[in-house]
Amino acid sequence: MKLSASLLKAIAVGTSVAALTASCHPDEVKSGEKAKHEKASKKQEETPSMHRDCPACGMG
Amino acid sequence: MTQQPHILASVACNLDQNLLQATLPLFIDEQVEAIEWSFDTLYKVRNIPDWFVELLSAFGQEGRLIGHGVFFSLFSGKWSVEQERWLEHLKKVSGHFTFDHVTEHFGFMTGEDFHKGAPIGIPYNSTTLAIGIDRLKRIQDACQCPVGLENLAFSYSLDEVKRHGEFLDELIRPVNGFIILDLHNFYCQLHNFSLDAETLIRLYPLDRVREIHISGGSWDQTSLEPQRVIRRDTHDDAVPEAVFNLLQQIIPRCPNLKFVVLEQLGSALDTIERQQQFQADFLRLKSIVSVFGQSVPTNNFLPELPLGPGPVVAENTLLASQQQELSDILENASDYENAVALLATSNLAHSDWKVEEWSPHMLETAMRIAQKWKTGW
Repeated sequence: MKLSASLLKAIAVGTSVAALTASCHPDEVKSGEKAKHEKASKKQEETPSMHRDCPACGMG
Repeated sequence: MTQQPHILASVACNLDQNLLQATLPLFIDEQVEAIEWSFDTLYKVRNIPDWFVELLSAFGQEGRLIGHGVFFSLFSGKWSVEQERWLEHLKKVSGHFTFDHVTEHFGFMTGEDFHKGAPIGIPYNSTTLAIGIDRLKRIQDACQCPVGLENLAFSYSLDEVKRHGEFLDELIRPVNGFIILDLHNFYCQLHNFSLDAETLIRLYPLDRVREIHISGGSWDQTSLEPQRVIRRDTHDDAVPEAVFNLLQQIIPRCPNLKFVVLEQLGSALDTIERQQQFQADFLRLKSIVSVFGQSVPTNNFLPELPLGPGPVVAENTLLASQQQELSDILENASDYENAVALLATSNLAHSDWKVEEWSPHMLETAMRIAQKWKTGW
């Protein structure tokens, strides 16, 4: 499937520096200073937690 | 909606740096036809990056995004607040993205915490059947799209291996659901129980297969039989030749097949060479899939009438206590002999769990799996 050039570039940048640009969570959309503050405080937590491992299939 | 005249060559695509780096060249070359997202694995990540949301949306808008749950623990005898939240989360993400279907795993999760433990098998009886059907109805009600279950790689006994396909069929029929046939899980069963593929294939309802997984795994030793090796579905290596052969063998027998997905853990894609192998595996998957046109589906895998799960959640206190006891034994037994002794004096002894018939090497493997994942992931 064809993806837009801008999306491909964003994925390349996002994965090459491993720094996630915080955006909206499907569950909740925050705005303004509160969101900025939360994003900043969560950044340390987010960056290393791109998920790595999975037990799901039963013999993992 | 875009026409989909063929089986879609797909990648399990999650928010993982190595995995996305490995997949990016395939995206650039327009090779990836659909993606599967484990929507419940980002519980540690409060905010998803813009570009990942855009990626999910782009595939979703084309009917090429499928959801794959990990933590629901379908057969837990006791209903939990976390399962209720999981359903609420599924309902929200299903409203935000467009899943073509949603799937979960077979089994119940060991571990005290919702996000700790690993899925282990259950006895096949009317109690577990009722709980499984109840949970599938709730999942279907939350996501409002076809729902399916994946065959488990783990089994306690040969009898369980042979009955797995039939039990899956009984589970999914009330919701008109489907099966993810994970061919590496299937390969684990063939190897660990010395079965030939054709014997086992005939025991699965292949007309219910809408999705196939392929992946790699690893070999493990067993202290009980030094000459024996156990195949484990660790998703950390290239796809074995035998699994590609199974794929070629099975595709023409699955008239409702729509997605074939390559799975691999990001942690195993940490070098350029491994990422290139992943890309090669995907292109081989695609070359196999492209030979077969998609048959005209005979089933849309949607319930004929709205299911509306009942107000009372199916639960069973005996099953719950047995699962708790089994989890404790698997996670804490000092060795195989200790586990056997503990099982013999537990609530599971002389019950539908048939612990007396469990293969020793698989009990030992269950202990290793449970102990590996008891602190989470």
